[in-house]
Amino acid sequence: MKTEQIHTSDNELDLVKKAKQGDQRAFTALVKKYESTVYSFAFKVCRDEEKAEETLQDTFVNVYRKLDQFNGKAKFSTWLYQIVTNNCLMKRRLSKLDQASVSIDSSEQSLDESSPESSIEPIHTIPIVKETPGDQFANKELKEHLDKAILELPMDQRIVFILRDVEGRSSEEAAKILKISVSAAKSRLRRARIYLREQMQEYMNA
Amino acid sequence: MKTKSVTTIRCKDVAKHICENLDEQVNSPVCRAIKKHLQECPKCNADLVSLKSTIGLYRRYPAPKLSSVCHKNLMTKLSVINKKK
Repeated sequence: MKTEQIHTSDNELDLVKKAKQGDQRAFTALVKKYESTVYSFAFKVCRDEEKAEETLQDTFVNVYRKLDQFNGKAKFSTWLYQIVTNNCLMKRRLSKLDQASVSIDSSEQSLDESSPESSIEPIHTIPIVKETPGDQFANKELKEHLDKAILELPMDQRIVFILRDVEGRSSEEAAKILKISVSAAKSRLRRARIYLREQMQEYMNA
Repeated sequence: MKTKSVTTIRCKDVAKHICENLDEQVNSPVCRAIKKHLQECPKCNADLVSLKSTIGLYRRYPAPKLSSVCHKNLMTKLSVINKKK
């Protein structure tokens, strides 16, 4: 997988330092460097372009307001991912509240009951995977199925899966971003992987 | 941690291990035992292949590019915040 590897370089630390001192050009340079990363990550989490744009804006507003709190102990990208992740979680909570206000007969409970939390047993009959061609995403049904499956995951599992398997971050960094232990991150990743594999079985032929 | 011998390792242990450590550079005795088990167990090997394939689908799923309008909206918002400060 080709993944953009981001490190807090000397140049980047210099930009952060200048931005903290009120240098708008330095702050804009940071925004330009990371806006695509943030937007892409937000989209992968919420599978919705409008929500991804809102998350992008909320994230950089938070970065602007909280930049003084970045102490350089973690990579700047890790700190940034923490903010995006918090915004995604917040948006999810607000969305749940919206749903609750629309109908007290929300399906949240039944969703939780059928979520991967309760289905972690390994699959016993897995068909051999058929390699799919590069233009497979022209298949609208496949995209919808991928979206549906990942949106059914609890947010914490979804975020670990995206950080680890899609963005290519390490388990240690995913744990740091979510402020959980590495073993907790791995446990969530395991549940997410098993659930998604189960959901995608019909696209794999014997 | 007490390691399990190759002969006692179970398919359930293999499933848990590969789902937690896939793609990680692990070379512990347990990991080596699991690799050996995978060579000998078609079911676990099929599990691994399907898991990799599922992950591959999500990795290749194209995320939309940030549009110029979206960038402009962001810069406008940040400009407003800056003026308020």
